[in-house]
Amino acid sequence: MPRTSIAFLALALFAVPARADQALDLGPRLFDGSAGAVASLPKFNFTPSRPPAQAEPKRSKQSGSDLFYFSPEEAAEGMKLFGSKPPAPAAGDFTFDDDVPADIQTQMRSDLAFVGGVSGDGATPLHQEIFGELSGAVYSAFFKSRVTAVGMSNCGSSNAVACVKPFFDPSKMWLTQNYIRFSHPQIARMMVVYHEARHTETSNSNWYHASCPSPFRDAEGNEIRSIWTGSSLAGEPACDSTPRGSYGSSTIMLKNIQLKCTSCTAKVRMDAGLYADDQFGRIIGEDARRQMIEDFKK
Amino acid sequence: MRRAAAAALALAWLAAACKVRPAPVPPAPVPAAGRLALLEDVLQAKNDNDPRLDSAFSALSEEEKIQFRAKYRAMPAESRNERGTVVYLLGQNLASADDWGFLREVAGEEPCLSLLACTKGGRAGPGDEVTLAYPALVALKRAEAALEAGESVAEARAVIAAAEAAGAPAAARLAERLQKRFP
Ligand SMILES: [Zn+2]
Repeated sequence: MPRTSIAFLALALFAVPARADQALDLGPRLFDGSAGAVASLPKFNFTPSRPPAQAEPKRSKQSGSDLFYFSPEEAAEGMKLFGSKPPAPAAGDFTFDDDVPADIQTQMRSDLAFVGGVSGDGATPLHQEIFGELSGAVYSAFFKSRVTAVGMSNCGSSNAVACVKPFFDPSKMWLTQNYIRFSHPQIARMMVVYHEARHTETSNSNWYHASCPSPFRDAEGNEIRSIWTGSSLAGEPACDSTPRGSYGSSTIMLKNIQLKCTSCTAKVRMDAGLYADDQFGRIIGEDARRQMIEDFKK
Repeated sequence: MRRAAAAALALAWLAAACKVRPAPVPPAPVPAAGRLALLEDVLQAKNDNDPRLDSAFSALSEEEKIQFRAKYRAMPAESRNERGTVVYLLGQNLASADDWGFLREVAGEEPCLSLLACTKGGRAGPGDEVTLAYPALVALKRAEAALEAGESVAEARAVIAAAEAAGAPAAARLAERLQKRFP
């Protein structure tokens, strides 16, 4: 039984402390007290009234065992604020905030162009259901119908690469400096981006993550640990119990690229398989795993 | 008129036949420095879907392979994707004991602990385990392909054993799975 503080995990590939000037998951700062001289004001006693109970919703505490996450309550908050809207047809291109560095914009455009150029020979049933055909146009439309803006954040973890904060803006994806900081295969960045794009779906409670079982072991009986921190994931909100969540859908996308992409180099297909097989470990529940294994045979 | 139609049909058939079975075109000989320069160019482009990865590095000569290995060793350990790309290309050109020896060397490297600095950082250093172990994983995938084909079995097993002994978590896990799959 997943515990109530089930969560959402911001995926990461590389890690350095990101922008210190970014507020941590609390939306924009009203005042950071960092500039200007302090004005001299007359002294008087002032007792502030208590803020309304919901003025500052309590944010999920990060355990540090894996990456940033949000709770089902925070997903519900997003739904309350922004409505349960299904992904809209892509109306146009997404926008970058002014503070997104040019090199990050260039890399993301380049990565999306890479995915936008793939084509394949068929697609598995789960891929058909979630994305449609294996086609660059389909992947582009999937992204653009969900993500309307991209900004910069630290995403709550020095390991994070990207995140979505449904309680702040469910259609916005946040990137960290880690997006371009280190050397890794191109498909890995796309795995993260499409994982996060799935988290924009308010109509599906943003596909918040499930708690991993305790103990949490692989088929060989080894304990499954966070690939980001090495910490035990037993009981942590870092798994999916459905093939259709963020881990499942990105695994399905990569597995289809591995098995059915006809315009990909053999290296891209190999990379897709390596990262997909790793992600598959986060899928819990025999039914979900069996469904995916059978799907990949079709 | 009828003759023109017949000619068009013949041309169409010829075109279709050519499409089905293109005439083999022997690859033009490339000077060794040329392929190293080509490798540099491909790595610089940072595009894993560059079609040259599939078409421009077949039948590397011994001299070229030596150059590629030297290139690998000269690259910073943190250049995980670039290093893995070189391993990938050399893995497509396995012929000698030295070729397999190189894959064994890569699989047996000290684990990269952090993408900031492979030898520093402790386990909590930045980077995910797949990227950290990427060159070794590429070597293991080549060994897996050899075992699936029943070729160079002893050499492939040695690569797997090296990865298991080195202990980079993602590579060790794959090595363990391959050990079980090919007992
Ligand atoms: Zn997630």
